Amino acid sequence: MKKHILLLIIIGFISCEKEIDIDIEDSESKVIIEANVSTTINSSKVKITRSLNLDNPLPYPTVSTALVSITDITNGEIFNLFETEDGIYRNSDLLGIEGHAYSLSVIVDEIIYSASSTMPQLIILESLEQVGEVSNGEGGGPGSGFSDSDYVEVIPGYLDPEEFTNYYQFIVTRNDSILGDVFIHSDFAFNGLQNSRSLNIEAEIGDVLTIDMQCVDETVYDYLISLNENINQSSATPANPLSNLNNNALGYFKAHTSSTDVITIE
Amino acid sequence: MKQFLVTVILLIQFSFYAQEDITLSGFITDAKTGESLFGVNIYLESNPTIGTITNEYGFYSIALPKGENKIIVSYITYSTISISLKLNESLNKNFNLQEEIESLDEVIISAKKHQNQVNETAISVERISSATIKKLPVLFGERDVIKTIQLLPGVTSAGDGQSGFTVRGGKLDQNLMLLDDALIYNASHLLGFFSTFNSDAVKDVTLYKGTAPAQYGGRLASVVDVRMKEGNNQKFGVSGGIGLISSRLNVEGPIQKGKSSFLITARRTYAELFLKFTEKFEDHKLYFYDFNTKINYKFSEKDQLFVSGYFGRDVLALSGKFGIDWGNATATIRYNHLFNDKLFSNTSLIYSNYDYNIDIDNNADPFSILSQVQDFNIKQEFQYFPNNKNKWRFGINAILHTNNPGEIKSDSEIEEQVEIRNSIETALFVSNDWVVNDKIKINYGLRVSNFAALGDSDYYELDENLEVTDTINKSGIIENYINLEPRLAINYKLNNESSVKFAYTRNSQNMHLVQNSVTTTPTDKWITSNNIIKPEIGDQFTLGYVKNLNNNTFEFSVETYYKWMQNQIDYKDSANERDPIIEKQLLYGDGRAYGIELLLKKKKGKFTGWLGYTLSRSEKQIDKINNGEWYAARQDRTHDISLVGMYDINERINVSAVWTFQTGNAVTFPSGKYEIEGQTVFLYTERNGYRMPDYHRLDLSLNYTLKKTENYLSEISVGLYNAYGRENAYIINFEESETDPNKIVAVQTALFKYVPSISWNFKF
Repeated sequence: MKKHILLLIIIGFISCEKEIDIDIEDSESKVIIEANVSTTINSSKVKITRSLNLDNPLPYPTVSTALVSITDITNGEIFNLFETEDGIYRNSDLLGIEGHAYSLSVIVDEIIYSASSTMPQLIILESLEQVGEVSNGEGGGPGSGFSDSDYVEVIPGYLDPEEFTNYYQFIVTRNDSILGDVFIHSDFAFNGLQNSRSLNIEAEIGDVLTIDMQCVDETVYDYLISLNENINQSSATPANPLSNLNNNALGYFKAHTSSTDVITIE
Repeated sequence: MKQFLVTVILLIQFSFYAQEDITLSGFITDAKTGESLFGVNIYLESNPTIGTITNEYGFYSIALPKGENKIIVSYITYSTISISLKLNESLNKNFNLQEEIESLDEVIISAKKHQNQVNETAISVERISSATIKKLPVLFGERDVIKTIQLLPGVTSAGDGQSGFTVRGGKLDQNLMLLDDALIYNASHLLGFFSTFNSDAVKDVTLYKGTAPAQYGGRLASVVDVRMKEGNNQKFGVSGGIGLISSRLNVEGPIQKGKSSFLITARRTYAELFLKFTEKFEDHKLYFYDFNTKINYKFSEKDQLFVSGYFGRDVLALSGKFGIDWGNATATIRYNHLFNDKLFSNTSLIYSNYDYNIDIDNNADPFSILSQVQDFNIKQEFQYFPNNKNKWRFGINAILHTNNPGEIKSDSEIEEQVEIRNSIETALFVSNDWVVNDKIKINYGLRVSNFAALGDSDYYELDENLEVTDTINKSGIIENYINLEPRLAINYKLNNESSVKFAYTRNSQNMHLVQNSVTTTPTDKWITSNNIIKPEIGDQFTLGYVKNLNNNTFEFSVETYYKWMQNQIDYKDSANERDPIIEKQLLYGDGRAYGIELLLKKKKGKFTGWLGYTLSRSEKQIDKINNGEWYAARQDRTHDISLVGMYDINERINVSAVWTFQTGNAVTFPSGKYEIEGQTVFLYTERNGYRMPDYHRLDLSLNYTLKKTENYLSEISVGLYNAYGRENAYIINFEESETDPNKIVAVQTALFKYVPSISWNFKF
């Protein structure tokens, strides 16, 4: 688990941890929507689940009776999505188009949740470059934490176009499993430049990392920043991530491009 | 401005009614060190109501009838001077007071009239002088005045590993910390373990809990006015301490005997030496050092110059990969001039700086972040003593703030600058200490403060959703705020043992610290008022009662306050602290704080100490937080108890114990969980709806004097911090349970379980 960098140092020096009892009140179960429109075949899908109390056993309940549709606002085309697995809705005809705006409508228990998202222009992930060696998290370094795991720095090579404000998310697959960590870039302070920033990824020598670079819009980027703070419990003011969905639904609606590359860690 | 001056002059003339009295004036100093003494009583033996006290530079001016007068000069822990003076014309007379041998205090003091809380007009004030510093409990081998202040009712430490303290439900940034008039933006070292004020260099400290007179301004909750020693102008001396955690050295002496002196103190901690023992932390750093220095020169009986400075730095580093260092630097030049025996002037030029620097050395693109607040300050103050019933203070103050919230530098071409902004804060102030009669004393005053946010850098216009709609960049004044801040304090003396006090004060604040609500760190950002951020305004009403019991052995006081605060700042939900346009992350609303404080002090005898209890509440109401309902501020503490005891076992050994208890901070905890892309995400329902566990701790210390003569002192100080090893929560995180991955459990991290310390202190 990653923490605020300064806290990390303080805690690292002199501390003791223990589990404590805190009387947490039950919360109302909320609808969670994870909706994607992608340029890749079969990647566009909507997943609907529900939240649980902290001490409830897993798995998270899925929602099967929802009415789900996605509209391409730019050309007016409407796609209805149907449940293909538990809580996952798809339509194989739905393929995202660069520059198009999309809207989402999900109806659960007679409440309509909606959101919109615009797919930015495609930017190509040109290369992946490993810098330095795999090193232990205990050594410190930004975001690495005092964890027992090994980390590696990888630079995704891409040229940021100067004329647009761009936001990037990197979905990292380590061997066969997707890492849940949120990797994001914005071009603030880097506009129009060849990227030189690295991603600090949990990996060992011999691992195959597949990185999918997705261009997303600003509302999705703001959501991802706050999601990251929520997961790491590092926010100044812990709260639910800033969702682009209305009616107090949690989750996101993301229209994104996709450009993938693979690297083997040495 | 003009109107203001006219008013001041009228008021002064009004109080200057004709009389035939003679003026006796001069300076009062310590005979052994030549240090000026603040708060010394000078009064007529035959009529103690004719009297005054020395100001912060040791100056007094008293009007006496013509002819034979018997004057008493008395000061706590010093021998009283009783002198007969035949006065035909105004006289300038300086006094040197001899410090008493400690064990005799109790006998002598009781016989005299000393300045005490019953006579003091000011309410909610605590003054710790160099004489009383010696009576404070020892923590980590040092008597730390700021740590001691945190043991008073209404003042609460922010907790282990946290910088600063809160006063009467105020935020950490609402305390005005002054060191020789210079603003200190971060008053703690080593994660709050030590304060920036080295007690070796401290002469006296005055704390006002939101009731400061008009010469102070700029913060809502409190003023902590720390004054440095001037240095011994009689004799060269060295003192210091060598300890397990820190060492310190103090050198002082005359430059010209009786006329000028210098003082240099230095401290350094070396806690990181212990880290070397564990391989894991071999290359890490964790230490601080600081220096205080002061020089003064007396040109004549009427002119004196003081130059003082402070420099301190904290360093934390991780294996050369991540480093952060931060600190304050200040410089003060003060010039005292006596225009005549009734008009005292002080002119100050003050510089202060706070900055931090973060170095991140990753493989791909190492970079550093610099953040800085810098002040240039000029202050002119007059003190006018027209008669024994009135003491006027008036003056003007102007500060230029330069605020650089963040500058990123790296080896590659990337450089980014968050807008550097300048602002000017000016104030005019006037106040009077008015003795109405034997029973009633009133301090009234007015401070007119002006804040101008200066242009030539970017300011923003935001819409309702906090999105930028326009960028303003023009020269001149972007926004100007004027605030009238009336101050009033009344002391009604019921009898010689007790009094009732009332105060109303308004304060405004234009420097704001946007603070992470989970923990405080040296990297919290200071921002200034501007077109979006309005000045914070606080109105406080205080009512109190003081009673001396058992011939001044005990002092009991009870105070209650209500504080209303406008334009309070908090982060919006899910705020991004790293947003270069920080205004986009902030919301504004009202605050209120109220409480009752009880304090029982035992001031004399072999056993001294106090018991303090506070019952209080501090809340905020901000439209977009918790649906606009009132919610507990992070620093809301329902109960706060401090128990401080010091016992002199014999001439050589004294022991002390300090126990504190506080209700935990209000915090935000998750109430549910869900999953996004396989990661557990927490569901929140309310801001600050939960509490950290209660905080309590016992500290013990023992002081053993090895040798004590007129010119030599050697003592050993042993301490145990957190004596019963309470694991106070520093931070609480929610994690998957190790035994049942289905469940999320709360895991607390505690710092500092049992911290022993030992140090050897010397003086020769």
